[in-house]
Amino acid sequence: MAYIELKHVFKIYNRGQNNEIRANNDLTFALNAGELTIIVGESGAGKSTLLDILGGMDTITAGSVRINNEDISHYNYRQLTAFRRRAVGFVFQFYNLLPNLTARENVALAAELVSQPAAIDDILQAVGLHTRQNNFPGELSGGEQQRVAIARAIVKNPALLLCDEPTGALDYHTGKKILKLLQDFCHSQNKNVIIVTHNQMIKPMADHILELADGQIKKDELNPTPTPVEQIEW
Amino acid sequence: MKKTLHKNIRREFQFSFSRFLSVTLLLALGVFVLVGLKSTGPDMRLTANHYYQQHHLADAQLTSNFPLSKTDRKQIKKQLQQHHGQRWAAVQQQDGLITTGSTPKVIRIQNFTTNLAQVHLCQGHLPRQNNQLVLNVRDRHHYHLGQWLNIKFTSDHNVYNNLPKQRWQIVGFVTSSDYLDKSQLGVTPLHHGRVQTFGYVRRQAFVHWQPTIIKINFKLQLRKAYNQSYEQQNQKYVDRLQPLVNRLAAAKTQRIRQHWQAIYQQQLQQMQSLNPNNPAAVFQAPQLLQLQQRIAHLPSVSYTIQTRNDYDYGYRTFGEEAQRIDILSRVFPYVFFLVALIVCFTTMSRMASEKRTELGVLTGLGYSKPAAVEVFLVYGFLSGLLGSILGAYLGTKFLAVKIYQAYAANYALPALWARPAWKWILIAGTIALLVAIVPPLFVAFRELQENVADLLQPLVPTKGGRIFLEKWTGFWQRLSFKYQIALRNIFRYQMRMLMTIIGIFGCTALLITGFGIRDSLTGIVATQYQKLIHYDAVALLSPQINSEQQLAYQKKVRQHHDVRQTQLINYQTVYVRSPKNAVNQEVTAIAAPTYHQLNHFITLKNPQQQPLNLHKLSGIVITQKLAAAQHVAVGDQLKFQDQLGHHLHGRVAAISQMYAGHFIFLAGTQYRKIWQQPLTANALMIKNRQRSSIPLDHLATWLNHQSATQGVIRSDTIKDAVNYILDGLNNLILIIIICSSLLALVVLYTLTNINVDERKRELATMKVLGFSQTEVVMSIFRETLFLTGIGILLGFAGGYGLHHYIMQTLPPQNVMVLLRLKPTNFLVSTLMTFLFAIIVMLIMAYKIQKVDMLAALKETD
Repeated sequence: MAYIELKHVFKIYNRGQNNEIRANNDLTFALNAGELTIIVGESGAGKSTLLDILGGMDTITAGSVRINNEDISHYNYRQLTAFRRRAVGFVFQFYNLLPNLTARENVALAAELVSQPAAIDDILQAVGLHTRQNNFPGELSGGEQQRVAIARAIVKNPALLLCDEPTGALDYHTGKKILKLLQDFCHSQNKNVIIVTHNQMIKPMADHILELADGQIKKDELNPTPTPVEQIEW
Repeated sequence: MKKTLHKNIRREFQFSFSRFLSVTLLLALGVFVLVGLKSTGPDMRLTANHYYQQHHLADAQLTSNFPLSKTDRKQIKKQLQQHHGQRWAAVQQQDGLITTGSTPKVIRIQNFTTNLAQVHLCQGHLPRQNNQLVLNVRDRHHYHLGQWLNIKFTSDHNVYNNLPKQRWQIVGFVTSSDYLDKSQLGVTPLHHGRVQTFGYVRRQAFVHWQPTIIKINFKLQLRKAYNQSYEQQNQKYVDRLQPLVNRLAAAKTQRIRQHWQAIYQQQLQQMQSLNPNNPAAVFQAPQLLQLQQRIAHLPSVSYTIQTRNDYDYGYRTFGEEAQRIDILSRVFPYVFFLVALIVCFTTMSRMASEKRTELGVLTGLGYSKPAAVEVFLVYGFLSGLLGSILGAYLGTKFLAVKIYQAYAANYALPALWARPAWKWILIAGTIALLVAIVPPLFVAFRELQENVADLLQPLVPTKGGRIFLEKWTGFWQRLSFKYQIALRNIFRYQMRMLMTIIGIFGCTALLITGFGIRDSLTGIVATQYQKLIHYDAVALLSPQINSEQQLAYQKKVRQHHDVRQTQLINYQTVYVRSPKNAVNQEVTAIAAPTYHQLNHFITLKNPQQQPLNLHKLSGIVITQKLAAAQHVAVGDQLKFQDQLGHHLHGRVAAISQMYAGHFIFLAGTQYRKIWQQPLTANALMIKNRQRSSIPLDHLATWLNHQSATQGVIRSDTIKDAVNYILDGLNNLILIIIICSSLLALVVLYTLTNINVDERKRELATMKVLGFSQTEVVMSIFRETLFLTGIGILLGFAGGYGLHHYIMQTLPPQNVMVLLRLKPTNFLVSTLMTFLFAIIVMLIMAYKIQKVDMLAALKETD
């Protein structure tokens, strides 16, 4: 049984009007549990839209979405919120940390939402920010901020970790480190990690690759032998 | 569970403290003005009422111009008993001169009473011996307990000296509710005519008990000062009694006449018996002729009954002062509050839109909607609560007290009972809370309607675009690029543009009105005494002298070195009553004998500047404010009453200009028509060579020494009275101006703050591109100046309207205002507002300088 299943999912803006936009135009695919999935495509392909749907951050126009046997296709706002709370960890391109809280507090903010969070100290150690935990986001570099964001996403022990261009604003080496974090988390915890990117070169690190273009899936292929991130050069 | 969320909320206060301060201060200011102004009037009345109750101030007073014998008192008592009288007390009065100390002081002495109209002891005890007195507590610093005073009482003016003692010991200091107005203690025929202090002695100290005053209390359900139903009921009882006591007075006049007639007959018969041969010649005997004269000029006895409003000078004016503040509180606070509300609304809405991404993050993480918006609830509630408490407290304890001190400086009343006006505090507080909480919640919930995903995207900055002004190419092309940008920006942020304009408009309007009140009132007194009233004093003549003696008196006065001109006139005080309330308005009626003009003493011209000739008019001339207050125009009948309650009326032939005081001017023919008797002179109008007060004092003293003088009325008494009111108003205006300035400052600061915050990236970009600090600051300042300018222009119109409205209701009943706004007023208001804008910009410049260019550019928001 697939862990994540999408069937004929549409996301259409301004439906029926002159400027109708089909951000997701009939998507169908399935992801197994514990897969590291990479969704690639050019800008405007519909990647972020798909990610938002998977994370319960956006509703669909038509189709069905099942995550871990839960059909979230017709969830209302409250149900989506509850779903997000317990099941999803999100990492954004622009970090979106709360500026008034320290690194540790940003992580604690998410931890307090679930009944069995991971230990904050462990998580901070894991992302390598133990020494910077009492700094505010304004005092952290881009890479450090992104690591806080990842820590925040992971501490909830979510079933699903969604990352939208996580390395978009980072340099080559830092980006690589981040990706390694995500890959390790996926494999050690056996959680689904989905990374959206426009960088074709990191496809080898994934278990499952989805290529999107013009809101549709152009390629859906499995990679039985994923390469560790540190061995990929681009 | 929500520990960190709450931590985040706390941090909100820490890191955006200036916004919290702005909002709280604005709300506090609005509540401050509203609660303060609404509390003052009622608190003033409460304080006064307590004072009156403490002193058992009498409802009414009967004054007789003749001593009241036991029989007289019995008759009056009978009338009172039959017409709701409950309690009465007789008072005798004698004026004297304290000669102890460097300057002599005129003192009014009465017997103290124990059942009504009591004095209140501040120190010492009431007199127990006949040579002891209690003195006005305000003289506590000039004299001390136990001190002996030398008081000289004279036996002139046909006033028999009933207090033979020369030395009196001060055994206590008291307050009395009869002397409310510190400056106006009474008029007297002694010395320079002004009573300067008062004292009370035992009834037994008077050698002959001949009271001329009866204090009266009625059986009333409610005795509450200034309460509409109390005042009306009181006046009704008094009106009913007046004709009754008039009859008693007339009867007494008859009795006196008969008494003297009897004496005359007696003398006549005696002399005729001594001179049997020439009985007719006896009539020429000097002592009989003298008796004849005396009988011919026997004064008629008059009893006048008046309510508190008329017999106690301070009572009525204090009530009017409190009313004036009530009037101000009908408009001013709302203008304030409105401006404060608008700016708070803007600020709090902005806060919600700023927190857009944070809302997205919180809901993205899985926090519920209520949890995500909790910060606005807490923030808004705290600022609203704090602002309300601060405003309400300061409004009640500071503003009300300050206003009271300014207004009531002249009254011998204790400190204000600053009672919280709970109704208004509740109203103001509720509005403040709503304004602080509802706008951000509204915006937040609207934002939460969007998909979480959209919230997390940085908000597209407001679309720029061409503005309509650009269509006017001729004008647009002439503008430099800087100004084109400024104009485009202004129209881009329409909401903020509107808020700035409204905020400045409100503040400017308030400033102009504040200054305008002063403009309209301060000119009055000077104008009146330079252009309209030229006489300096009116000497009231004793009714017992005949016309020959009057002319001799006039000649004597004219020869006084200070006197320039004199004119015999008839001078009376009459009353009009406005249909709305029970309060009487005093009107001075001046009638000139047919062949004399008043031009040298009073300039009579109508509002169209045409001079008025009394003797060519078929009716009376009344002053402007009187006509307005009584709603009469040329051709109508004016109804009024004399001192004895007789109803009279006269046809209004013209209206004359006058600013302070009500007057009626009439020629002899009109007088005869209205009073049904020929015009007789009873006063001498006097014009001095110099107008200052010292020669006037000397003159008044000299006049009072003349036996023919019954009293001296100075023309500057009204001037002083009006000036006191104006002084009080001036202080109030100062408070209004300070509050308006504060409002302007906070409004400008808040809006400019938002402006800078929202455009940080723009400003950072400019800095990066290489614009100098000044150029960057000016780019924002140019817009602020433009909007401030528009706000000021609109404020002119608003201020004009507000001023007009206030001046209809604010001035005292008998004061006519010059509805004018001096050009300097507009200039000063404009300069002040621009000054505030500059101050705020300087603060902002500092803030802009501190903007970290690179950090701002990196931010996605």
